[in-house]
Order: sequence, then C-alpha cells, then structure tokens
Amino acid sequence: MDREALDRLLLDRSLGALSSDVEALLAAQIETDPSAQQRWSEYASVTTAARQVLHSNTVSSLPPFPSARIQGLERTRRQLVLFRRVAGLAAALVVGTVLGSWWVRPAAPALQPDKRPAFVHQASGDTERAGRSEKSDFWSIRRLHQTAQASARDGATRVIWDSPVSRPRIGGEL
Amino acid sequence: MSDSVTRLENLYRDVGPSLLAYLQRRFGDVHAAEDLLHETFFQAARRQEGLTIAVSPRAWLFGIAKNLALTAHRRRRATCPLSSVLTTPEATDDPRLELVREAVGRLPAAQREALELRLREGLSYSEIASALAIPVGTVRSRLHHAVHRLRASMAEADE
Repeated sequence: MDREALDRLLLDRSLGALSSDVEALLAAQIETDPSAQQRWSEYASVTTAARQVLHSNTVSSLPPFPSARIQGLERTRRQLVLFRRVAGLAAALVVGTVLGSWWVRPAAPALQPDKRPAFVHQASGDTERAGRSEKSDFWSIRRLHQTAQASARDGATRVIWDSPVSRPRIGGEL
Repeated sequence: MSDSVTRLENLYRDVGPSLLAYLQRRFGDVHAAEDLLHETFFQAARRQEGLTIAVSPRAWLFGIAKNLALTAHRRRRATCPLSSVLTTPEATDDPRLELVREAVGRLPAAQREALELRLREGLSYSEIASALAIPVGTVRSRLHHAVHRLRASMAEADE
C-alpha cells in the first residue's frame, strides 16, 4: 500500500469513519510498519484533542418542544387537504354533469306518421266549381281543404299536384 | 396528537441538543439559537415529505438548521462581523488543549464546520455531505485538511 493511501486510511480511522473489518485490516497493516504507527499515533492524538476541545463547549438546556405551533400547522394542513378533496369532488361533479348533459342531449325528433307530407290537390277551375256543389264525400273539395288546413296547422309540407298528368311538387305553407 | 407531530417530538428529544449546540456555536447567542432550533422543527413539520424520504433525518435536520442559520446570519450581517459565524471553543487549563483550541479557531470555516459535525455531533461522512449539501469526497477532503492543519500547528508548537 502506498503512503498516501495509507495516510488517508489513517486519517479516516482517527476520525472514526472506518468500518470494523477495514479497521482490523488496517491495524494489522500498521503493526508491520513503524512509520505508519508513528503517523497513526500523531493523527489519533490530534483528533482526540480536537474532540475534547469541541466537546468542552457548554450548551444551554433544551427549550420545550414548540408543540402548539406545530400542531396549529398540522391543523391547517389537514383543513387544506380536506378543502382540496371537497373542491376536487365538486369540480368533478360539475364537469361530469356538463359532459353528461352534452352527451345525452335529445336527438333530432324523428318524422312522425302524422307529420308526413299531405297530398293536397290544388283546386283548379273545374274542382272549384265542383266544390261549390258542396259535396261532402271522400273526394269532395271541402274535405280536401279541411285536410290541407289541418296539415298546415301541424306544420306539414305542402305537395302541390295540379294535374294527374304532371308530377307533384313540394310547395310552401298553405 | 398526530403521528407526524409525535415523530417530530421524538426527533426533537434525540437531535435537539446537538442542533442547539451547533446553532449556539454558529451564533454564540443562546436565544437566537433556541429560536432557530424551533424554526428548524417548524420547517421540518412543513416539509413532512422530506423528512419521510430522508435517509438520515438527523442529517436532514442539520441541513435545515444550517440553511436557517445562514439566512439569519445574512439578515444580521450589518451588526455582526463575519468572523463570528462560528464561535471559538471555550478556553481550557490544559496548555496542549489550549493549543488545539486555538488551532481549531484558526481553521477555515468550512473545515471547522465539517470537523465539528464529525467529532462533536458524530455525523457520518454521508450525513455531513447531506447536511452541508456537498459531495462525500469534499467532506473527506475538508476533514483530512483540517486534521493535517491541526497536526501541523501542534508540531510547530512542539518545536
């Protein structure tokens, strides 16, 4: 072992920083080396004296533990934790409610059977004349008008079919 | 009383005297040292997580105490000379110990602090490193330099 490494170990030993097995090995090494023994005794005497000097300082007695202050801090901390939990729960509820209402909002209403476009036969001159005859059977103008008005009230789309030879077309409100 | 407060109280009983001595040596003022000791444990209570994960709660408390002492010293620097950051050990009747006492007083503050933490408080190298926030190698180096200086001072006196 070189001198510097041995010196470092001797210093560590004098400071009490070596483990017991390393110390035993070092003690065995020192026994065979008189110069190392000499240095060891010097380091040991220095650190022993320094230890005595440093321990000679008088220290006042320990004041009581500041339990009231620390317990106050603990109370504040617990309240803060509780507040955070409640606030977190409330925030989660609000977010959940908003998301839920958006997610399950009512879908567009399906076309009901009574909302189907009503076929309205626009009155032509002949049919008007026929209407004036005040017939009230199934194909009567009066009944057709009543049906068309009922459909208009329901917001139905008007289909205009002027003539049996022409295509029906979608018209505006009645 | 909660577990954390009980744990801190136990630490106060175990480490409190060493911390108080350390702070007293740094300040020389008993009342300031007591205030700083209380502040150290108050800070420890505020940083419970640090106490939980600390490998050595003792070293962790010394680290807090050291930082608080430095902050307090900076605040009162205007009225307190820098040389009084560490107080000199008390005089002794033994001339050889008196020689060592003077030599310890002449050590650079960093070496003296490491030496005190090792020889007086019994902190390990790694605990000193944790308390002073420096590498373990630096702790070893400071301690070795301090012992070399003391040895040189004693050798000079013997001659």
